[in-house]
Amino acid sequence: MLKVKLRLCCALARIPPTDARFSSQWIKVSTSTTPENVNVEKLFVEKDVQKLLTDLTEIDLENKVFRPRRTSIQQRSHFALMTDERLEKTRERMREEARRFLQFVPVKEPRQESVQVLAKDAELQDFDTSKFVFTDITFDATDQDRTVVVREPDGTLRTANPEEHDRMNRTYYQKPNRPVNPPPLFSDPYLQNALDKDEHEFVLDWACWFYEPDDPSYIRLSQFIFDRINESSKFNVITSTRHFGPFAFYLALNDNIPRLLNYFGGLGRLADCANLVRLQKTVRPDWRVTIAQGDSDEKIVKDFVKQNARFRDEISDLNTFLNTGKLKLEVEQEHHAVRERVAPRFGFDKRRTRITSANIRGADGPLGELSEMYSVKVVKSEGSGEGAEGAEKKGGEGRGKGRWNRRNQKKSDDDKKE
Amino acid sequence: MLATGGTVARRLIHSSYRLACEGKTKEVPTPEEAGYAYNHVDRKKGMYKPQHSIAEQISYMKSKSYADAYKGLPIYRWYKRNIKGQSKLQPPPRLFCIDKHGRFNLNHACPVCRDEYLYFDYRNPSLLEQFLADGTDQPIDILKSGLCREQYTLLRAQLLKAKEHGTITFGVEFRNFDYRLYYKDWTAEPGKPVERAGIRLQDIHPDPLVHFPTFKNDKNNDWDEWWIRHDKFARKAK
Repeated sequence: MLKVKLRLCCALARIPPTDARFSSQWIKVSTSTTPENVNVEKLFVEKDVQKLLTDLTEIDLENKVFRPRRTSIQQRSHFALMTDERLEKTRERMREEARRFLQFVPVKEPRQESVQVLAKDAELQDFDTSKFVFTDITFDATDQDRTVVVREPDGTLRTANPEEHDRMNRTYYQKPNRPVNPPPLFSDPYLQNALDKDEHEFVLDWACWFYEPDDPSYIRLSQFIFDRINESSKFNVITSTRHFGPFAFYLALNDNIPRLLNYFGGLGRLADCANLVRLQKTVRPDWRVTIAQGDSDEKIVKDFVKQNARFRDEISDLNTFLNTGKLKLEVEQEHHAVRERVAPRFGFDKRRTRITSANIRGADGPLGELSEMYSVKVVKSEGSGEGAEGAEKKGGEGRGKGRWNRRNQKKSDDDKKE
Repeated sequence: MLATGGTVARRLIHSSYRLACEGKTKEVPTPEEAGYAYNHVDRKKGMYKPQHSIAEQISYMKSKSYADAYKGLPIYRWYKRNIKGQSKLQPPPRLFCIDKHGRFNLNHACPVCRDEYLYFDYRNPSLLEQFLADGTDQPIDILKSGLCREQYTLLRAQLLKAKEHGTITFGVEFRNFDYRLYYKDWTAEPGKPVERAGIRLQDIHPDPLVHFPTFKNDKNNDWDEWWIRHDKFARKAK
């Protein structure tokens, strides 16, 4: 009798408060009005949800899916001469290929950590100070159904828990980039550093290669990264990757879409906005606000904006687009132009050229202090009225370091423009 | 003198100990203030290599003296092993340039040993990247790099560490999921598995113009015809 009571107490104590309230690990406590007992896995594989997620994931061939990455083998570049028709066909085939690369990572609940006690041999107690793990390494056992058992020092023989199981898989069946212990990249401060460098995709790719999708640590890690992306509104690091589907699904499930909606609105992608709203209303059905059959994209988005007035500050770009039809980029350029127009009142006129024939040879010219070392020769060419510089700029720091650095370089160019 | 396994291990421990001690790095002065310079001492045998922190190394690699010394090329490009004859037939690389006491045991040290600020470290990926083969995450051949065996071992170790700490990124293998294993009510077959860098242009764009027929050997053809006709022209010749 006493034993039974004790066991019950233990069972109650083990359940954390979050689990008692929400059945799913993918729904956060902070959001209220969440439907309880929602089956996240089932919801994720529903046909219309999958279709919406696939539509939301754009396919960017050159900058995302087939972006240059460091591989383990050296490859040559291939060049081919083709007609327009042929080029279009090839692009279409590449797009097909890319669709396979965009297969979503399964959204799973954390797995059961239960173990099964096979035997208790009291005579084996204290046979050693450490556990013994026995692994079945026969040829036809797969990673999922491989038998792994553990002999505890107290003589208990039990099946391995999933963590030990995976670790034995990694030990006996090694794959490249899958070390036995999780790499330090998956924990702070290295995770933080990688995310600061916008390597979200790399971290997520590696995490889904290293962990099983139902591993609690994978779920925790991916949710952490998703939250970081949403907080900092850096959606372009994850669009057109295989993680965008789970990301959008996670946001919709937690009623947290306004920032992503704002991102799409700023780019003027109204269809994506409408799809996102549709996704949210499919995932969290609410009889008070439903979408009628024949609603257009614009009406869906406008209705959503009206219904969620509390998000007004977060969706300013979307509102600008809906009201004036201007994209975020255009608005920023206008601001820039206005600032330039206003500037002359306070200081010098930016529009006037400051390099003239008088100062081009001096320290005020384009060479700066180098003008003492180099003589500047001004040559008038046919196309441009201005002179050409005599000295060349020295190429950046070190070797070019390959094509994958082009991404960062572009970004710095963009910064310069801004 | 050959290094035994023990001395190599001791050296590795020594260098990793040095790296571990630099957890708390002091404020590093700017390259101009610190007055970094390439060490032009040409006979280093018997001298000690100065020790510098990783922050100093990074700062040195951004400084003007580094740019002047290496002119924007990878550091091994300025190094030539003192060998006779073809580079294919060169003797194996030396085991180490710096002995267990931390002294140079020769004058013409390898490209990393010879520069007082340089040593491989995962926190300075720009040095490691110089030794990667173009487009890959693998180090170049040891004879091409001109490194001694000790530095090459350190290079591989620190490269692995850099990957695991996320300072050097690479294309992780693509994992193809079979949804039927993960969801009970998923019935669709998974598509053909794909892999990174697994697409060839020939598959995507088979060249329509160039067609090479398969080689046909003389099988199942009636070459005996020659002998049948032979009677005709042989008689004619007579």
